[in-house]
Amino acid sequence: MTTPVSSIALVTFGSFIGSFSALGFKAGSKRLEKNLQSLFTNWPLAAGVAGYLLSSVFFIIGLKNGELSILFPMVSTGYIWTMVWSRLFFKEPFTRGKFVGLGLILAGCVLLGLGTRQPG
Amino acid sequence: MATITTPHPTDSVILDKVSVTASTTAQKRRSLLMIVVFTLISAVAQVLLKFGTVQLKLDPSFVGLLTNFPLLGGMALYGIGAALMVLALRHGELSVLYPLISLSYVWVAVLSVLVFGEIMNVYKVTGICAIMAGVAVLGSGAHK
Repeated sequence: MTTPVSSIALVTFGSFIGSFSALGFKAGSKRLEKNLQSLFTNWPLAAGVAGYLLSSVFFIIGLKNGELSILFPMVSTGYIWTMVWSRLFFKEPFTRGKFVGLGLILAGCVLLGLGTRQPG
Repeated sequence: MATITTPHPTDSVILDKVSVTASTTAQKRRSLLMIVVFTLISAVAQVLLKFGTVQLKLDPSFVGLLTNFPLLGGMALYGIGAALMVLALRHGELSVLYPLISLSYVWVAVLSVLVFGEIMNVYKVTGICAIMAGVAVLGSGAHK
């Protein structure tokens, strides 16, 4: 079974949208209150949920063709975007630990992808 | 990173600001744990979605979609996971917590071997180890 480029593109784009939904979730989580009404007026949370659902649509279409174990790691490209958005919108600093941790994760994802092309 | 000193009782304005913007170490630890649980849920959801898309290929009708229980179950778990993630993101930095979601790849790789009979090899094992090391590096700095 081979994985078409279109599937990789779909999943990568889905993860780009997903990085924005993470922003909505984070902003919305700060506005959480213990009543149901506040859930419906929590627009950052609603935007996050919408983005999350939209990204899952791209994932499903992408996953129809190709291997799960090569496509799923493509989602990791979204973490790079999230780190940039976090600095821009939440003033979270870039630290050495974050670069090292993210670098290891990305390397691991590439290796997982390579591993699907090799015979056992 | 801001260090939180014990606020003086008269510093009520400062206290309010601190309680809104900063999270305690215990809260950050709990956020880490919730993200780890989220990754387990989302890995199971991904496997169900894969089953569901295979079934969707065999029966692409509307009725087929409504009775596609792996797909619906996967979506439901996805939703539950999302709710848990929102709660987890309340405390701690997004740029630290969000990449921890990569732990789900580790679970998916293991599940792919167990459920779909995919083959484990030296690349996959090294990749899994690298992801876990990255998660450990990010996680260890998360509650400082």
